[in-house]
Amino acid sequence: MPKQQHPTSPVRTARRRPRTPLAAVAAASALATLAACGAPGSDSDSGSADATPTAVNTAVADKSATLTLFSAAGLEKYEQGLADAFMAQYPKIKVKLRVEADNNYNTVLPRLLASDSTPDIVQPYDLLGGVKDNLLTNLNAYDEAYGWSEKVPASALAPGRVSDGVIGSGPLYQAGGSAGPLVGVFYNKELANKVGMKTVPSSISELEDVMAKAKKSGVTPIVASNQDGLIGHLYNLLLGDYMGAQSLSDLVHHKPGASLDTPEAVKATKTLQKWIKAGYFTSDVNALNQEASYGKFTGGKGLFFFQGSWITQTLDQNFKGEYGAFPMPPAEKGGKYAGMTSNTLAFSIAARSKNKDAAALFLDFLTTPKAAEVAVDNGYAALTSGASDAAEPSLSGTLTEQIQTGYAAIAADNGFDSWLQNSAPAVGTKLTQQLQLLVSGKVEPAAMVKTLQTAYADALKSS
Amino acid sequence: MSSTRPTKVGAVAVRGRRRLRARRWAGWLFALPALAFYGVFNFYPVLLSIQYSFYDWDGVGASTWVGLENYTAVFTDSEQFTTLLHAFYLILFFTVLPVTIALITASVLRQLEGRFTGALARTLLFLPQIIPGAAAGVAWTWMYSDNGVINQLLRAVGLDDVARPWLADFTWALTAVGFIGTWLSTGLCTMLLLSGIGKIDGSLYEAARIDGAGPIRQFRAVTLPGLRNEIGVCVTITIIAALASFDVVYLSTQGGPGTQTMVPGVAVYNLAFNDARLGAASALAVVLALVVIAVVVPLQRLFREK
Repeated sequence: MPKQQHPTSPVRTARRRPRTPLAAVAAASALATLAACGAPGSDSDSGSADATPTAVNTAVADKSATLTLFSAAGLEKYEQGLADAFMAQYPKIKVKLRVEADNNYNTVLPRLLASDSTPDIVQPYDLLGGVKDNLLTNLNAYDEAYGWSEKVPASALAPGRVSDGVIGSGPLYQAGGSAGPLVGVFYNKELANKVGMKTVPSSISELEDVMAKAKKSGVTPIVASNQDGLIGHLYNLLLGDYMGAQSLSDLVHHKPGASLDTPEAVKATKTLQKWIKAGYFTSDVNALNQEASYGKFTGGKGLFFFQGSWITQTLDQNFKGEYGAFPMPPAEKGGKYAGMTSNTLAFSIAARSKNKDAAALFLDFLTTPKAAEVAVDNGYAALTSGASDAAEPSLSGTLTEQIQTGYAAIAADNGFDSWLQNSAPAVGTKLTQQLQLLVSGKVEPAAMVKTLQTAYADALKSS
Repeated sequence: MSSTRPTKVGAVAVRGRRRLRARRWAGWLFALPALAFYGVFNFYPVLLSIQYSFYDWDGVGASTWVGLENYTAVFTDSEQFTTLLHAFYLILFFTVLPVTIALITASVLRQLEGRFTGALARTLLFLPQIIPGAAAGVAWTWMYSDNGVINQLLRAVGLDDVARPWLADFTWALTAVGFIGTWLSTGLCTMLLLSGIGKIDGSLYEAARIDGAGPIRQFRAVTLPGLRNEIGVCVTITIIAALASFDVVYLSTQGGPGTQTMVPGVAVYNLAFNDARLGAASALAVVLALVVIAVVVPLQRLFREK
């Protein structure tokens, strides 16, 4: 029971007295604070003047400088490799890595870019957000000075161009060479033999046949992790297959009129649902994170792993030679290959960087064969001009060869697209939840596609 | 106040009062550094959050004033509102269970006071308290996993149908997360209550025994009333831990599967740092703070010593 103290009791006096000045101070400072600052973000004009440099200097190789490259932990080895190769060529310029956990990279990045201690070279997934908030450097002047547009395939630079909130054309914000991961089907060689997979499946239904056989012989068909929503890789591959790479890219790039709410997207979702219901995943997939799925795949706990070739940087440590890769089969036999990729040799320069000229030299270095070599050594595929006569994907050859042929096959079909969650951060959050619901049988494909489309439309509205 | 005021007005009294006033301000001077820190790192951010909550803002660029829109969303967006319900469900596991268990354990341990087994039991009970919630979240993820120790035990006794990946199970995930909280809070509550029991006059128990009270009667008539304050502290701390939970949930499930274990703390984090919706995140955080105050203040009064 609350008990009233006697009004004149000394305890009360002693406790009451100081409150008056404290309350006064609090109220005064509260008012002062709210009055002093206007709308949040109004004062953070992060140097829009510097965001579009015009007078650029390419003769910086002999000036000592230190560049900071903001790296995600999973890519540390690769990006250190790029830094080392660069420093070997330009000994006066130091490139230091600043490493962040993979799942924090994009969370931290915008705030870092807006801070006074911004890294110089970054690789933002949310390119549109970074451009909108004046956090990234317009690289047109450097492009002209170094001639990147002539040196690098247009298709490799297009994802780095932004105009009016749409990716694909206009000023350049992300530039470099051309290399990317193969996102596709990684398979356990021993288990593939066991279930009798002799050739690369050439359609979704052939892939389904192999998985059905695996299931029958007691092999888990698909290793995945979905606590972190990484079934999304597979889902995205299916979306690309059924919607076509172009439609999916349009969506991610905010092309006006693009929509996810299409029969094709529903069909892709239904396919994934069918595989879930058929028991192709382990029942605990919603409880697993990426590290756990790596462990399951290298532990021989499943046949297929729908992932990107960045996994080789982790998996090769104890699983080298035990697994192979092929691109996601087309929806129908003879159809077009489609798969996500991102240009891992293209980076952005922070608008607040104080070493823009040196950073641009680093980007220029990325266009050289030496940089491409580092990318290939780390499991990425580099597109060479003679890729059109590339070999068909096959189950023989080394993993590196398989990755190169897989990548070339997608490139030959103009099949590169991007991840749905790259369209807007809020779509990523929603996608993870919806995939978990789909796995648990709590959402139907049509409803899931509608929810994602709503999240996408909402995100576009507020951007 | 009137009783302490001097009745005679004179030079001595005035000087005394002046000295008294000076001393009072000297106290504030000593508190100033701490107050400054409090102001800069606690009070100011709270004000900023309140300000942000009225805007649509991505955290970096320009912002738009949206009035109470973010607050309406907290209560009309079922996804945000459910997080508050989840938080209240967690009170069952963070507060009710630990306090109940702690009361029983503390009463039993009282009998072992001074013996080696008593000290050992106390140490063991307190151990979870020195493990950070984040580490506990990860460790429990393993125990709850499909091949984890909990399922191994269930299968060992033939309960194969019950075994499941607990944190991925739609029905059980929130309860599973709750038990991590129970494990974390029980030790702290037991320690607090044990020290409280130690302060109860032994002669009260003796008198109760002589009057023919059994252990249960003793517990109700002597232990419970004697622990009023300590129970109040336990309940307050653990309820705040439940309503404002973040680390355990974030590390064990991140709010999944779907949004089954989404609590306000994780939702605020997601909105602010993943979705870049600072305004919506701030509004939810402010509502959460108000809810915590609304729950804790009446409880404080309830447990205040008579």
